[in-house]
Amino acid sequence: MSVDLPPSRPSDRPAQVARWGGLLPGPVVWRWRGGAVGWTVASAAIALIVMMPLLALLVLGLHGSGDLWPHLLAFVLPDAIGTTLMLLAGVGIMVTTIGTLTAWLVTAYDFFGRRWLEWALLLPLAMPTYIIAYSYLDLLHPIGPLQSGLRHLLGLSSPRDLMLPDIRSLGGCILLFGFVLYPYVYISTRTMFHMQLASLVEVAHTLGAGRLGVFFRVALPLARPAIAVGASLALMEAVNDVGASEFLGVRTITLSIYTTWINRSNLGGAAQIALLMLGVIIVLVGVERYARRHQRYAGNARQGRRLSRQPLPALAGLLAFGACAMPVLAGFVLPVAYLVVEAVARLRQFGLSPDIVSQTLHSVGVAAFATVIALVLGLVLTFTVRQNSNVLTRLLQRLAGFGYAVPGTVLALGLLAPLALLDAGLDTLSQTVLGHGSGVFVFASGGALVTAYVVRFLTMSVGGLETGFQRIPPSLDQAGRTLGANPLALLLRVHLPLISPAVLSAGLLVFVDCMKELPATLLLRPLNFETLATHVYGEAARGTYEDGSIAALAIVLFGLVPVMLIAEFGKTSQTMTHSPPQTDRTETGS
Amino acid sequence: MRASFLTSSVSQDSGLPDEDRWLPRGRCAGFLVIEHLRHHYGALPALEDVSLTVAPGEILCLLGASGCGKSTLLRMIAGVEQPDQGRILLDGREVCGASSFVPPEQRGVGLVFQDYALFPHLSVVENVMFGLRHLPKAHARALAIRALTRVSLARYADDYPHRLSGGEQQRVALARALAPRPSVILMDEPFSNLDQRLRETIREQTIALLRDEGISAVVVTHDPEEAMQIADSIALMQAGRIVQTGTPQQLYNHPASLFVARFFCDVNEIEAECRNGQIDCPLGCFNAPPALADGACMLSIRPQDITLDPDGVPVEFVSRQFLGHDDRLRLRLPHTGQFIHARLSHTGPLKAGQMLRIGVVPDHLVVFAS
Repeated sequence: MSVDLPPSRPSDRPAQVARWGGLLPGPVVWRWRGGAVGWTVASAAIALIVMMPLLALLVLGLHGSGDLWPHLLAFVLPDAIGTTLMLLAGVGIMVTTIGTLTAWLVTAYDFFGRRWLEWALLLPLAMPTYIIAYSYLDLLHPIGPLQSGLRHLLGLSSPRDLMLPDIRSLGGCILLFGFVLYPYVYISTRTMFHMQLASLVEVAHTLGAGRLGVFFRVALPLARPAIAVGASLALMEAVNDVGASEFLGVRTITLSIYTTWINRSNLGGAAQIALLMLGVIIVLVGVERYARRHQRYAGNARQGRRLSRQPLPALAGLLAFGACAMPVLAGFVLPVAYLVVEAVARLRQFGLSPDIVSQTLHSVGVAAFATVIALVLGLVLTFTVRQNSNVLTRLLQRLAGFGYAVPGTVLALGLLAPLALLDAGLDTLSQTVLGHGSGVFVFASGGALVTAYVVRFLTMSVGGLETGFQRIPPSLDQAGRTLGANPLALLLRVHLPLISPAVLSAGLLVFVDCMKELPATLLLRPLNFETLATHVYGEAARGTYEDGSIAALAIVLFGLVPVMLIAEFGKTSQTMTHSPPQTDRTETGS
Repeated sequence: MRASFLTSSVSQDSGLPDEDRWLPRGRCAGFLVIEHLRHHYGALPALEDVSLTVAPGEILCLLGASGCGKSTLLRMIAGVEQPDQGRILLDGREVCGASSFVPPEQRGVGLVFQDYALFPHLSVVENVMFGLRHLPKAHARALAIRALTRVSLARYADDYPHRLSGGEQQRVALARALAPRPSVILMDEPFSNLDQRLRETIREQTIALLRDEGISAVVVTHDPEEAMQIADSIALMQAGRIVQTGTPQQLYNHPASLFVARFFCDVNEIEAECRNGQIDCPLGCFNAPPALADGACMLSIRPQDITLDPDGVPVEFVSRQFLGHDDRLRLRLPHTGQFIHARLSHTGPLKAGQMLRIGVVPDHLVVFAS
């Protein structure tokens, strides 16, 4: 560029620069051909730790007492399996219908309240299954507000005159699960609808398809993989649940594991049922993976004008509003309103009890600790793949994410033996070194709980970080390396600043899920260690749901944080489609 | 123009004062040797026995269609990918061989990408300073500012990359790659993201800068015209192999194979017969090159080497495309029915089916033994 350059000012002489490269022989490094050996070994260790509970379950199951099986086979399992399958089928239908329908309405049409509903539909995500169950048990109680109100309206005096179907049934359980789990389908499907080309819908219209025709013949088939992904996530949540099904009197397999373990003290039997259940989960995971294969393809293939919303006429708009408002009302507004009323009443009467404060601190402390560990481990796993993406590293990353599919009860069961071994080892070690034993340090310190959280939610950290990494073009890594940064420096100077939003959001998701987690917390917490979730469960077990309302409300409020995050993400991903590709990469910039 | 390029394999003196150079005057830039490089992606061969030499100050173009392995080769020189076999030497030091591997951060090569790969979280000057970490901050900044001045972008030093246009981003990427003063600079399709008009200017300025600093460069491109404009030598690649290396003239005028000839120009391929030092083909008789054995051979004739010749062979006019300063004519040989393309001007009005007489410039013929 000698032509148009203004003469530069002479300052420090370039000869002073320490020269690197050709003139100074640098250290020659001996390496494994694949590169990133240390990182791969670390990933393998993490994957092994995550798989440990599964291996332990296998061992437990093989050594389990067989004398229980005749009893289980005759009285427990057929019923439990049947109930679980019916629950899954029912919840599957519920979440698919609600999720898909509402997602299509808010993406394809414009009607009164749509903007507001588009994010409000995410709200039930903040509601754990056990909390909605407790809320409705009270709300729908014969002397609860809904039935009394209804009786008052109808002029009836006795609860006997108005016989509503009992919420404590399989049907009630399906209904409640459907209302809080549909957002999984809603989120994935809405993203899919957003990405659909306007031309597809327009072509369908010109070929004679009406509104329903477009939905059933174009939108739905295209969104099918997204629906499968969302539905399988929702079903995993349903399988994971212990609190709600227990109080709604629905005897699922999860519950029989819990009772076989706790009430019958039969670890082997519980492990065997757990293994059986993992079979069901593996099918769900398989479906999700299979569906996602298509999703990737479909997601990549689309570029061009997005669907623009059609305004709906007044009556149709009102119907659409009703259809979208109903799940929000049932899955969030009603139970939260109930919790608020009860919580306010208790706060007025007793003030903020010190118990609640200590429970919140417990919850937050354990969750925060687990989050940090999950983020660090997730970073190791994803950065290993980033440096050297091969069959091994990708497999390790995937294995490390398996914990999410394992219900908390099963996970706790599987962690028991390895952690007990660890405690025994620590005890011996401390006896020889310090002269006195450490006892059950891992369990007593909450280490077991943190381990369970990390194993179970590591996949969310990995997934979030992976998305962050994918947004960084590989050329940045190569540029950084040739400019003198070693892998660790690259991670610290280039990757972390660029993926910090992803780290933050992944961390929030992990944190809140730890706060909400019930089954593993119940089983692995130290003695007399109450978290918000176990407190809610304890009150419910005593039949005094309303006394847990403050803690329940706190959990829901914490749960709202990632909901807002997802809503915000939906907004930016929308605007990003309209902006040139350059700004898309740089939005994390300044 | 080409002649001056050919003599410029050593740094030319443009009369710049020493302070404005990144390399001390007279210092030779990097010397790159690649020996028998081989690489496979699974079962797919990406590179097959590739050997190359880039002399100090030389600009070498790796030319080839997409997927021919040229970018892979570039990444291996940079060290961001490892070959299965072969050696790479930089200034006599083995940076990659059977038992040694120098990671990219210790190689001293500069990389410029098609997408420029500027760090979006760093300002322009911070981007350029990225490779100057070993220096005190103020010193690094001064050097970076100088590098930016050199590409006339010092005024954007504290802006963020996304505020710059494509051409400006490309220049920042160049300044960033050059600031640590690598012994060799590698550029992967550096001009292909720029629009046509800008590309010409940026290309000229970039190459002038490289020549001015006397830096060795390896530039990957798929565009033969670009390669001929900027390169001292071209290595043409096909399916992971180098099919011919040489100066642009050598490749253009003396292609080693029909593939090479086709790559630089849409040639007419005419089957011919060589007998007793004479080539006989439907377009006339020519003297055969001395090395050519008797038998069937293939003639490659460029459309611009065909002339209107009242004494030439008759051909039938089929159609034409107007290309500005000349026309592209589609002609048919009456005997064989084979179509021939010619670039001609001043033909006057022509009707389909009309007969023309054409000749061939014999010096520009290229013959391949079948």
